[in-house]
Amino acid sequence: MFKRILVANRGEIAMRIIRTCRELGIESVALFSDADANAVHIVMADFAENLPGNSPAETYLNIDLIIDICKKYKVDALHPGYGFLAENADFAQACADNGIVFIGPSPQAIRDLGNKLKAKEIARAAGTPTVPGTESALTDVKDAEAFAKEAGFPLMLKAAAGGGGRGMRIVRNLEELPKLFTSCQNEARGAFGSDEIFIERYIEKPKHIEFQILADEHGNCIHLGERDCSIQRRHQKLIEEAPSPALTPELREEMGATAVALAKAAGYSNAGTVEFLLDQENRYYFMEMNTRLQVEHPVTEMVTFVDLVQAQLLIAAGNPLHIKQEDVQIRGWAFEARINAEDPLRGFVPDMGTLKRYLPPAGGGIRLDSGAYEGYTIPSHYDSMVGKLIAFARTREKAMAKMLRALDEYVITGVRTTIPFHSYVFKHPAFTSGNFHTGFIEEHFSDEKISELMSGSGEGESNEHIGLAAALQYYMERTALITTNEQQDEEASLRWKLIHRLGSTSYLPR
Amino acid sequence: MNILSQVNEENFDIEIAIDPNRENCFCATIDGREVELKIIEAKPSSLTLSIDGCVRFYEFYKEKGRINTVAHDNRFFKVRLRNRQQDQLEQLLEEFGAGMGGTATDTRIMAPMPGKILGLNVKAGDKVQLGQVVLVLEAMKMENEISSTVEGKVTKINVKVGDIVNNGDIMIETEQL
Repeated sequence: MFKRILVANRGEIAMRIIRTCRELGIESVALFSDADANAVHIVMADFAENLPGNSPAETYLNIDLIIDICKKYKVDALHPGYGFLAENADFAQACADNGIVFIGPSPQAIRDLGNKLKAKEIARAAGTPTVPGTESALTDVKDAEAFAKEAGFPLMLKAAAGGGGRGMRIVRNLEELPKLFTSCQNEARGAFGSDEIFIERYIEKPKHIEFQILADEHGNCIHLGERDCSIQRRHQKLIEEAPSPALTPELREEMGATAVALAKAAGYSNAGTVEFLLDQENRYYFMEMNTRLQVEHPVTEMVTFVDLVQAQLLIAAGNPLHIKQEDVQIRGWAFEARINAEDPLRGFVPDMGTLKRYLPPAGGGIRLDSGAYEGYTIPSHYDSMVGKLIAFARTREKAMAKMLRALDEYVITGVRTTIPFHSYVFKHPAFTSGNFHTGFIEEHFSDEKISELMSGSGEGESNEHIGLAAALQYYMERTALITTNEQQDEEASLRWKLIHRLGSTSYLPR
Repeated sequence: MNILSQVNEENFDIEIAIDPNRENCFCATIDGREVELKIIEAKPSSLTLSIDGCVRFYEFYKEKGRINTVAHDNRFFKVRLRNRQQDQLEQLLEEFGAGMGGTATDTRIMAPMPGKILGLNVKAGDKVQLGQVVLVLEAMKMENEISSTVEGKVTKINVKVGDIVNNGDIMIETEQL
């Protein structure tokens, strides 16, 4: 087993990986940009090294510097987490060239599966159903039009190198095709440095079902069941659950076997995720394979009792899989809600800032993967995630009740978060029924609805209490019962004034 | 003190005074109904308050010295407060001032979020309509088309393609035609 690994990531996922390292007695080396000097993962690791600067390019994407730090600390292996360099084949190759084990698949597998066209080709060869579409990259809008005339609408333009919802355009008719073709090409070029795009049929109202697979370097491959990630906003996942309320045991077995066959055909090793679209007739189509640990991996961990990071480390160290397919049992139900610092009143734009008050939820069945704490300032250079709230129980109903309870318990002030939004979703009949698809948000959440929700109207007792609290604060300020001067001794002066005015010596509890 | 407290457009008539007999308590009525108010803990911009025995935390945000938002239960409530007696003169003055001219409408287009400018669709001298897409801003891993919030003629463009902007940065200035 490895003695020391470097974690080439930040925040909650760096903490997640370091936790398993500590449990296994493996030393960890963390990295931090200037803006992450206040992050928790750097004090959790055995060592931490600064990456000067703030932009991703100069810090967490800085391949040369990261390799140098690996050498300086003589690490055996490197875990890339998700995002940043996790699916960069050149980086995986650079690790290999410098004698560092990259905890993930081979550079070739990353490269093959990272290209959506190539991945579809592998899938077709492995007998996996794929979404009908053009089999090679399009350079001319005429080729897209030719496909459209044959296949009909709606269609989807996709960047071959795309991911995370970027570089996708839904095309509803022939007239808008040229404009969308160009904008998709531009986004692909800007975001991925490749203007390779293709077109395929757009599956309406699908469910997003993905299978977690584990493959070792000795030809063994298993799946750990599925995750349902259908609750998305602009292709960004917001809520995930395992298992999926839509799958029968038979369908699970069939799709799982398909995912395993595909991973084997791709020569895949380590943890990976095979994503499918499931249409309303329960037909499934391969979408893409993610060659990394997923953000939403905890829901699988909860229902299978498998530590996925531990499995990744064991596989990367050359061990055969420590579990067999028949050992995998799905027990209970788990949900994950991504808590983001975003302002739903302004179209979910990031609302970065300092967490003034922070009360994380806890209790049985609750897991919170987060690097946030009271007084923590969320840097504006990276994503807006505050944490991943995970709820686990024996049944879907009980897990939902737990999630709602934990969302109520979770208090964050200073920035606006998606907590109230999640509370609403977890009470919504369309969600609780389990009968929902990727269009859930668009269908049930108009901008007005979100705005109403976030401003707290429509909540019986709230308005009256808010009115009273605000009036009392106003009254105390007007009558100088309290001072609101932003001074260092403001608290002391406030206490004194209150005590003085009210003639009490026991005014405020310490 | 008689206070008009408006929460999300809903009005409450509130009367508050210190309760001389009980520590940390206030005599209060809301729309004529008596409520028991007790401060559990007070800080300059937040209160832990018991309302009829229900203890909750409230945080206050201000704009131009006035409380305009209350944070509670991860929600942000818009509030407006008025002291009915003492503020009469102030209110009169305010209304008079508003009647005399009011504030000029903003003619600037500001960045609605932090991001990178990917494309500019207008140049100085162009006429822009309300809602017309003036530039493309990359933020939240997406291309966002930014529409004009004003109608007029572009006088100045403060950004170029590739620039990083912060929330509230003035990107385009216009004049009314």
